[in-house]
Amino acid sequence: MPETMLTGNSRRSPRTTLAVSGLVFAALCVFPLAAGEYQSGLLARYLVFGLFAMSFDLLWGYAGIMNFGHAAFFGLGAYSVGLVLKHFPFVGASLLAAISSAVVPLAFALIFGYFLFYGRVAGVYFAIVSMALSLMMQTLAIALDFTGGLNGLRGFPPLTLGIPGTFALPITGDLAPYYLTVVVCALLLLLSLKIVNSSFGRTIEAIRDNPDRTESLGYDIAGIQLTIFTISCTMAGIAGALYVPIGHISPEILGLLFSTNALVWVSIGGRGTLVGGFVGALVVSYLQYFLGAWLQNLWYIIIGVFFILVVLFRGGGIMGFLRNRTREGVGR
Amino acid sequence: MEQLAVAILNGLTLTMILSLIALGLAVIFGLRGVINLAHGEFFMLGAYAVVISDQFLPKYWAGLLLAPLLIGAVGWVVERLVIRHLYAKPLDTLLATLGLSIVIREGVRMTGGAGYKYTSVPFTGNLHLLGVDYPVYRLFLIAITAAAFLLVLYFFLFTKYGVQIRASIANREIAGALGINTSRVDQIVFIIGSALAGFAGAIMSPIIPLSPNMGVDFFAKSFLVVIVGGVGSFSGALAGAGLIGGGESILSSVIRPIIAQAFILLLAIVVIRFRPYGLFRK
Repeated sequence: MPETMLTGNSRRSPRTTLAVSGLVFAALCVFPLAAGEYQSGLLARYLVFGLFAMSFDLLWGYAGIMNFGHAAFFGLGAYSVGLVLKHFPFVGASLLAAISSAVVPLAFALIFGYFLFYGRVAGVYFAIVSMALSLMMQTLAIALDFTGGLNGLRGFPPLTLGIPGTFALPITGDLAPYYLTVVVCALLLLLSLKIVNSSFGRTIEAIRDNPDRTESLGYDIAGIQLTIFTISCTMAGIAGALYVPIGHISPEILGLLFSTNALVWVSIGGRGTLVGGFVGALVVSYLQYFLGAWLQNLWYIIIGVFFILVVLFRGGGIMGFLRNRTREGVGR
Repeated sequence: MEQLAVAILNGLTLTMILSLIALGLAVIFGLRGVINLAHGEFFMLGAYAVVISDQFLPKYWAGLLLAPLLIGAVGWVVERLVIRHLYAKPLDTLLATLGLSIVIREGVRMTGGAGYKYTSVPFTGNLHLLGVDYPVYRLFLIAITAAAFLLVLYFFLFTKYGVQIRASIANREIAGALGINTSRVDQIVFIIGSALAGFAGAIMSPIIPLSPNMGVDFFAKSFLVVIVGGVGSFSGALAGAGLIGGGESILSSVIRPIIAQAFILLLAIVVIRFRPYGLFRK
């Protein structure tokens, strides 16, 4: 089964993994010193994309659920932060904003997911219905006045961390958002790894590979799918909140094309690896940053062709490639 | 009253266009369980085919005839090169055709420019109907799409290939055992589906501004039509299109059009929860 191969456990020793991730984290921490503020802001943006892609992979790679409406939850997180900050201009509103960026997507995912999973909507159907969700949210964000229409949401105070009255750290500029993003990404990556390596994670994969058999073993399939869907969408919402200080809240971040980006990033980084989401988002975004102006539209065509080839030849993406290499290195 | 008459006529226009696009999607989905995410881009290509033929051939009609042939050929190439390798994995088809839709969209943007394009309107006058003046071209559009729909219906119900296709949809293995070349059936269905999308694009081209992104919205709506109407039924495609296209037009005359669109999408999601196999399937 190629499906199980995708998520097969790495043969690398835990010590190597720990060393590599420690090095990466240390490198991320000193990056602003070496590369300056502008580059840090850029990297923060791409890390947010990576977090978004990782949450997509948690759902697609492990549960086999393709959510074309993933951007809707990213956008919900971002919009709810912006709206809370705009309409509650008192001290401590940031705390409320941070909470709402997780709670609003969570509630929304619960309702939407309940309708679909308990309606036994799966596979291709789910993909298209979630596509409709993305279109609907984008349409609404453009049409409604309080979301700022086509221009998006503007004119709200910055997010401020800290304890009201004693200590405040406004998340503005490039450095503060950068470090906040690095820390949240690391925490959510650890949490996701914990989830997929738990028995709950194994059950999700079992449902993906054979839903009927898993159900016959007594598992509540719809309930489990709803759970992982809600977790993944909440993470997307948090990624959306992180995007607020560095990006611009506009209807595009709710749209289908942004969900498609997550799909592209995960496919290129390696599906079913979690880390692949970050790798894919960083590689593709930096390539686009350096080559985009030169290649213009050709860039998207290359991405599209590459995407078709990855699917046709069942590629495991960058992480899959690295894994095969290290396995050969160990010697079988 | 006049407002309602216009809404009904507009609804009829949208219904017919959506039913043509949805029909193509539905037969492909019904036959092999795959969804062509580039279907909306085929619709867009059909419209651009008219733009191109306008430059070389003087008559609009040439483009209208050329578009389905051209897009049918495109569909055939796509089926042979990509889709046929992925029939066993519907979700992979979704991904591959998503890549394809990006390639087509950006290819058109690169060669044709990003701005809006317009084609010539073959006739401009208005006709007095139901108490309002309604553009003749739109009435022509309703008539010719109805004719195309009936033609396809005839093909499926009364020709040899039509019987083979329906047999393959009903039971692929048995159809193959009876000597039907099921791989050829796949190709024919894909060509017809693509040609229908191309034709829909060509017939719409005089009345909407053309842009590389125009297919996305039509695709999503026609897929909702397929789900709401039920897969693999002609009456379902028509009824679903009537519900979504007609509903949107009539609602748009009462509330803001963009809210009406969102409302229709919401309605479709609720319908799918309770009738996953379509409103009209027993």
